[in-house]
Amino acid sequence: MKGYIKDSNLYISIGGNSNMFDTKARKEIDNTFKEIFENSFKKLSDIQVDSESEIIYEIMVPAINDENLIMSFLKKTERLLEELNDFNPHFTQYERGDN
Amino acid sequence: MDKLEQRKRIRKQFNAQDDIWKIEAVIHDGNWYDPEKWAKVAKVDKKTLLAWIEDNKDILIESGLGSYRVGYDEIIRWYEQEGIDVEESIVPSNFPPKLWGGTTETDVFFNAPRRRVGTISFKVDNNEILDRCVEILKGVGKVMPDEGGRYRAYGLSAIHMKNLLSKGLTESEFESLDIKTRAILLQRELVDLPPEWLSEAITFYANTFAPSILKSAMSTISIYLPNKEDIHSQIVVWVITAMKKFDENASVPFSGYLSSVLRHWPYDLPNEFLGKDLAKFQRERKKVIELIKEEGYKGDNISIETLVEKMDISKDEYIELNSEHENWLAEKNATTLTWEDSANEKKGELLGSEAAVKVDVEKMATISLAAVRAGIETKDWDSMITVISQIDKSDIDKDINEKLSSEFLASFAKNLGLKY
Repeated sequence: MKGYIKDSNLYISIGGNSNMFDTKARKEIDNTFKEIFENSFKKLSDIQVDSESEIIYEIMVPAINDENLIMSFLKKTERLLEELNDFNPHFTQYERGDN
Repeated sequence: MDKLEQRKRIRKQFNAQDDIWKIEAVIHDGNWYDPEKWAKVAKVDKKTLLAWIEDNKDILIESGLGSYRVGYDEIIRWYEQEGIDVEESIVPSNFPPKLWGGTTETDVFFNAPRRRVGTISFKVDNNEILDRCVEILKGVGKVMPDEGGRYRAYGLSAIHMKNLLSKGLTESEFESLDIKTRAILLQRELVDLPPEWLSEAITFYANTFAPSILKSAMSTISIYLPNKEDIHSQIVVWVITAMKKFDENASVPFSGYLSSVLRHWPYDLPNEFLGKDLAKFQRERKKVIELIKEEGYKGDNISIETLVEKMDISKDEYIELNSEHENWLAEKNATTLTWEDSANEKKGELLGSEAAVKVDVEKMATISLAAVRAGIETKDWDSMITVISQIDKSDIDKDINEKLSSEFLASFAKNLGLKY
């Protein structure tokens, strides 16, 4: 096992046409994160520019470099990406807009 | 406070104000508003607004087209009266007044009206001829690079500039220029705009305003301009071009004009980078392949004969343009990591080799899932994180393939449905 995953910040962006992101869809996305990552995630931003919306979440990577913990984390991430497939979830490089 | 919270706060504070305050807050950003738009932004009924206009004609500047605005002094007076910092956003979705250089944006454009100029566009085979053209037109026309690798000279009279070049160059040199003249063009010069205002305006429009407008076109732009520095330079060029062309008498804000042109100009990039013929060929070929697939074709390879027939071009022409298209893809992908091939370009390429180029959210989602699955399968977290750190990033590490283990690459390619 190789890795520096514990030193990484992972951000997931969910975005697209604002029509896709009504209250119901936002709730579904939030609930999926809660169900899979419980408290180990944070919603960082939810912005709408013209007709485009983008929601960014941070998911907490295991703090210890333990193979079992990392595998469990990656399987949760895989499940999240699969379950939210309709919203094209993808990793992103998040930077705060006011930095 | 993050941007979302800030927006919510502005909306809440604005909605809590009375109608008169909302009407005044909107018009005191210094932009032109017609009554419909003004009432909509202020969230008041038109009758209330028209009554306010009637009572406040003395502070309003009215355009010949029925729009209104207020001047610099009135903006400052109102913000002081209300005890609000003039740089603070107070109207939802609107920027604060743009008062760079001690004037309003509208006044800047009014004081630097566009002038009638004549232009000629020409191409040159080498720098020596270009230098001679510049020398011949010295004091008469200013030569600037133009679209499609051509040059454009701006002066008072297009005919006069053309005559000067015909006299100053040999007949064959003159003919090689392929001169196109445009007798009248309305344009302002950047030197006519106040330097302090220009600097602030370019910074604001290129760094803050344009990127938000261009978000949906970014996948197209990044095909032709893969580096973020190149994208920024192109945005600056678009902002400056818009400043030169903006009609000061149109009674619309410059930001409205800029957002309108920015929705179109990125789609000129294919013509500019590929030339009209190749850009048209790529568009037509893509359209025809999509059509053939919609008609139920399931295979991976569509014959040239079928494509030629549907595209209504000769086979020789197809082969020549396709070869240029392949060269362009190879050149583009030689130094850039590209992850996928679009459905209509699918050929079963090796990972990292010639592949199609459109990267959009759907593709980024596919890549994200493939990276995680490859991480699970190989337990090579280093490679997985290296890939993840490149997703949704404009400046992709050109050497990324060398940083991934072959085991990870094989698994990653498999999960992307590619051969490795």
